[in-house]
Amino acid sequence: MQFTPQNLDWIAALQTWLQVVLVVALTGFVLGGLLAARARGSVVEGFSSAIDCSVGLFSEVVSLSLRRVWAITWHCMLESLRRRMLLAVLAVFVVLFLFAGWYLPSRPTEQVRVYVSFVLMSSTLIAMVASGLLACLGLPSDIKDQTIHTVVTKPVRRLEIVAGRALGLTILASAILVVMGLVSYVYLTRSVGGTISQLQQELAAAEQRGDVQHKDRLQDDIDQIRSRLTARVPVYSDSLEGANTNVGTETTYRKYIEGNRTAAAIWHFTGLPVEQLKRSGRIPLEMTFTVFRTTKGEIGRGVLAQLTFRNPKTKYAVVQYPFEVREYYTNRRQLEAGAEANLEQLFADSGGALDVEVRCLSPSQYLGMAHADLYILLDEASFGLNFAKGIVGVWIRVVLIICVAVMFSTFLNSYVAMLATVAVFIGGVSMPLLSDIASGKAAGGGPLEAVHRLVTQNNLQTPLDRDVWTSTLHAADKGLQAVLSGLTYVLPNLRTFNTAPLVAHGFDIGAGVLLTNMVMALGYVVPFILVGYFLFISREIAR
Amino acid sequence: MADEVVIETRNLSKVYRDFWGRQKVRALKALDLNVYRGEIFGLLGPNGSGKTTTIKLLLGLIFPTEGEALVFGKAAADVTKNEKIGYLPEESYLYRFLNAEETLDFYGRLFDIPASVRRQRTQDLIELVGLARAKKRQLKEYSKGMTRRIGLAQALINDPQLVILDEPTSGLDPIGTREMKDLILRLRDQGKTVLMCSHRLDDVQDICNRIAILHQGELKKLGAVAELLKVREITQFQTRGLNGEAQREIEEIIRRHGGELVSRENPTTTLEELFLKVVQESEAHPGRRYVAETPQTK
Repeated sequence: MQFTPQNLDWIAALQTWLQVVLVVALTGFVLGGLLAARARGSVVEGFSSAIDCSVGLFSEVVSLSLRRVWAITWHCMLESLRRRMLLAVLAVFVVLFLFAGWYLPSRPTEQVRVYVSFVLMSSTLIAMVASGLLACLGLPSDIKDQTIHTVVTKPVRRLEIVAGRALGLTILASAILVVMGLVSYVYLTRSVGGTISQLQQELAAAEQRGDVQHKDRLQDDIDQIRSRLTARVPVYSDSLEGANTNVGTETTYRKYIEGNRTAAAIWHFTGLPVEQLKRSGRIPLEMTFTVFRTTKGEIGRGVLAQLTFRNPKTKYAVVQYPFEVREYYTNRRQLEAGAEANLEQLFADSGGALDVEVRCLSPSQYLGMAHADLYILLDEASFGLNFAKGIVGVWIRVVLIICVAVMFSTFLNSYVAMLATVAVFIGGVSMPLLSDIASGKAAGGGPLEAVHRLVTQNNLQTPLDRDVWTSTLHAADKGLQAVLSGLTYVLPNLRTFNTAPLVAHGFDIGAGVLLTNMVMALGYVVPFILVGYFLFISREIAR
Repeated sequence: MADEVVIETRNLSKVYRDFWGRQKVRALKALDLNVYRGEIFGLLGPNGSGKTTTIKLLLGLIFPTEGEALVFGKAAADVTKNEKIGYLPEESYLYRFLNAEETLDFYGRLFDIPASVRRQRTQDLIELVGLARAKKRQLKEYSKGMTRRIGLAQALINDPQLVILDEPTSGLDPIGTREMKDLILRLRDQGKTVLMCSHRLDDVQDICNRIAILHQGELKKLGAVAELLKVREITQFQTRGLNGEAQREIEEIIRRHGGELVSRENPTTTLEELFLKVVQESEAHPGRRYVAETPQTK
């Protein structure tokens, strides 16, 4: 799992949100005023009606009736149920699971990760497609069939219609996710449980045969599966220092330290729960390293590494015996209090700070690491509960897509609304790429330059000839990049809401992560609903 | 208050434009109209004359290009005016997956009507429109006439002060038509205002107090039905029991005074009256058949 632990700066996030909302509101006001002016044939009347619309929002909010919102919500749910859309969705889900075993990789140690990723991804896609389709079809069908005429001629506010629809689809999606989550969990635990039983039988057979090497391997596999079938609560360091060597194009995520040299990677921890660690009498660590080999090394043996725990204030240090790094495995080490170390001394005057240093001892080998690759394992929580939190993560993303689809359905026909929603989804999951293109960091230049390179078969690195054509391309790209840059502020970054990798890798989804995601999602949901309302109220329903 | 204005349009105009803003059609031109409380007002005109556009403008379903429409003194776009309005669209655009009870309950909720009142009113209206035996069936199983009836019921769920009916008798058989007309008259008697548009001139003539005739988006005629239909240059007497000699004398008097006898005939009833009479007699004497007195000719 590749990520860099970082804390959200709430104040900066709120400031950015307010700025974006203000810019969007002002842009909408000016555009709305101009469009109304064209329809009315008078700029004054146009902007006067834009002001009326804006002021009208407050009266809509004040006179919002929960009974009417619930009526629309209930109606929306009933419509989906009676049209048997949900049955179709669940049928697709069941069929998918019936044949999942055919094409999912069967390597035991990867089973939990692969299966959890599969069930959460399929649940996300199915719930998103189903609720997105329902959202895109709902209002446009009502408008096309003119059934909306008998609704909007009642004292129902447009905001109530938009909010009611979004709420109804959210409740439906929640029901779908609960069913899919339960089925997935049973499927997962039964499949993985079966694999563990099988490995245990093989382990017993290896013991009987006296095949120590195979027995150790099987035990490792079982441990690895069990470590994924839990919810580890990691404490990440504030920073990583010392891992600076780039071994080429193999990866940019991890940096390396050279073996048998003075090079060392140091993780700086602060604010550790010292008392809890002292009570437990140990500092449990987990590490995931990669190795870049310049020689074959010793056949059958891994690269050796050594851990040093140091108090950054008193410089009191505990050096552990070297251990063999296993690649693609979660290496577990712990510092035991007692003969090995004095935890009182290690944390003396440190205020919860601790440095953990890693050295590579094997000559001519490089040990690769990233910030999140080493952490202190504070606790292990229930996998079932963590899986449920993963489903909540899926739910947040589905709700975002529902709100986007409802917003588009207020002014576009079904097919165009679907296309627009899919575009937002693609933009949302490709946000890092979008940001790179917008900021000019992406290799190959802006969108038009990239097309030019494709057509002329130019590689991404070679600078283009300086002529009128390329200057024009660059100028046009600047404009497109400005638009893309704006989009990166408006579109939800669906990747940040994706907590499935945490569950798949056996990490606990903290309450803080869940709360942050919910607040961030709300920051998108409210503007989407309001934009939907403004678009809906400015639309002539009966045209 | 007989002169209380319920609907008021001032210079109301509507131009339909295409996606690029080019004018497609001018559907309504400077309509000035007042509809007063307690009257049945008919909008007449051929297809494309602007009747439905006027109703859509009054309901806020579309926005005027020029002018304004006021309902109960409020702008047409103001949602709060809808609390006093019941609307039956030209086709009963209702949700086909709901049954009659669910339909009325849903629309009742949109009026924020408390549950107990909603339940009572739902049952009353289902009885009123004669759908008690079909109230649990989904609307997709309804005939056009039944859909029309439930459409009317939803228009009355809020006990409206103004009822807007777009082609109210469309799709109804003669008995349903008569019941609909009787109901409209009852609504007027209850002090409600009815605005209706219809192609069926006989319906309008039967029940409307005042009418407006639109053509090509322009108001061509406006006034009380009785006044508009009056042919002032022709005088008509209807008498009973006159023999031939007396009739000749009357013709002579007409000629003596310079008048011209346009026609002399026995009055006819309307087809609707005849049909209803036949049905009533049939129900009173089941099994009685029509027997031709003379061989039928084409």
